[in-house]
Amino acid sequence: MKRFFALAALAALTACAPTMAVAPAGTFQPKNALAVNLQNSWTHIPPQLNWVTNGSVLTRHGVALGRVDIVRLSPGESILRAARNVDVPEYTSGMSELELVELVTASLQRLEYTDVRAENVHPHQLAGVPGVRFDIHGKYPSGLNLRGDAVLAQANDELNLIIFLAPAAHYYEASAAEVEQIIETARAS
Amino acid sequence: MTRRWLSVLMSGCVALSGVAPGAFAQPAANSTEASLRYQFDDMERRILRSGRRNVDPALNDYIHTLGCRVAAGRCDELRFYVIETSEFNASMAPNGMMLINSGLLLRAESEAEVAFVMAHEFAHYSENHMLERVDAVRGAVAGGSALTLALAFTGIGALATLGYTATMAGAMAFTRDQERESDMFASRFANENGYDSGAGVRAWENLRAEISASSNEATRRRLTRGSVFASHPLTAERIAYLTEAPRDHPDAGVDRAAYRTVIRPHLQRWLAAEISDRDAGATLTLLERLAAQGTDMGIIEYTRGEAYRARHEEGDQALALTSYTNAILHPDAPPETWRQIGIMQRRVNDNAAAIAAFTHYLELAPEAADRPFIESMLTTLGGTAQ
Repeated sequence: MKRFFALAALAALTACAPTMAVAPAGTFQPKNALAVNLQNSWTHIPPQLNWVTNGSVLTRHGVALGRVDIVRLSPGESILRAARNVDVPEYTSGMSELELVELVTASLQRLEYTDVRAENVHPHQLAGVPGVRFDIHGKYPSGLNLRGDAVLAQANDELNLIIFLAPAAHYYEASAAEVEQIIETARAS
Repeated sequence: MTRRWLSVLMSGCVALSGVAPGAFAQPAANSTEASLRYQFDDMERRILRSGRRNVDPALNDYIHTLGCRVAAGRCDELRFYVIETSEFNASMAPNGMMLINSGLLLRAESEAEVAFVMAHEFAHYSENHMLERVDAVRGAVAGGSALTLALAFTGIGALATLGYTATMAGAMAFTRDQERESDMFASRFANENGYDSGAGVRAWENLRAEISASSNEATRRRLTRGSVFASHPLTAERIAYLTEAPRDHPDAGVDRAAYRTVIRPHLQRWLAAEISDRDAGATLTLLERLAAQGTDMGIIEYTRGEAYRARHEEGDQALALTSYTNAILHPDAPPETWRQIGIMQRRVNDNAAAIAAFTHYLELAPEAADRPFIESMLTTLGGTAQ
């Protein structure tokens, strides 16, 4: 009987544990973030298993070869998941659009990406809310060239953002069109 | 075998052909030293590929020349790398790789200070401090587990996933006695080479002032729990014994203007990295010290404005605007200063001033990455996008 209860408890705990899972084609609703449409299935890393950023991550080839972060921040929160007492760039209510750009680039710098630059910064709507969009260029810590896109918009004291990062060689182009669709179908749930 | 490698290193007679990692005499393949050497060589290969490595020829030549002066006849054993990271630190590996952080170069006020720190690091190498530690661990445990314990002890296991050079500082956690020995070596080097040996004290006093002013409580606690290098003597302790050390050439090698010329091409980028670190208290203290020379005031005032803006406490926006306004009085003010003024004027609905600032920004930086956005704002504000 003891063994039965132990196994039952273990099963219950396992059922609660978040795991990486396939996010099938169709509507994808990350926890506490914008819903998006996926053309194909992606691997979903839920916030509980994402040790890098505060949000959900989608990846096709593994996070080192491309990742889409879908994040929603409240004032005082950071894109980065950091230990206590570590100063990281935080979202503040009422940030200007260019401060939002800096929020992303500074956060990426803290993740050891180097030479991070925002290019082609321009107005863009995210989920129907006016915001800002830009291209990301830089280098991975290994020296590999990085490319990406970021779209951010704030409303009602919350910041929604979608960030796509991938090696400039092959992997960015391989997923760019699909990520574009993810960005354009983003909507408040 | 340990002793043999130690003696080879101490004799300074290792083969000197080339500068590639692992180019000179290797210890036996199955030894602890070989494993250490392999891991540091591997780390060096990563650093050579890393985007964090500063590749400016002028700065690297300067550091190499200075390093060779520090290393005297053993220069060919060493490789020097400037690493773009804001932490005040330098480190030296037993394979001859010395890393000098940009955060150190930014904070140093003179060549004498940089030379002091490089001499300190070289002493770790020339005195075989890491190998002494490995040897101590080997003596304390049975042979088979010595390597594992040694690597765990020094933190080198983490190098397998090295993403940044801070890991190396952890790996190079020398004992306090070794740190004191290195400090005294650096002090002697300064006295024998025409530098002010008091430069080390100044560097540590400046760092202490910066840490004391940190906005981060955990950072401030480092002063009482140990310095930026966890095992280093407490900052106050090392300032005390370095102050007592002989000082043969007061104020020699402390031409601050000449040193600023060396780092000037990198000043704005290194200061921007400080802003990304979000420690306004420390950054403002650093800026105050950099401003004391009276040069580079456009960049310094701009960065001061950025520090206030990023801190975002009550009254900081006004302080930021004042700093930006001060910055544009100087010819080296970055074009972004005008953009920031425009954003602040837009925030207080002074559209005319915002339009003027944004327009001037685009005149100064026609290829700006955010030009499409600024043009959009100009249109919204009633100005004319160029």
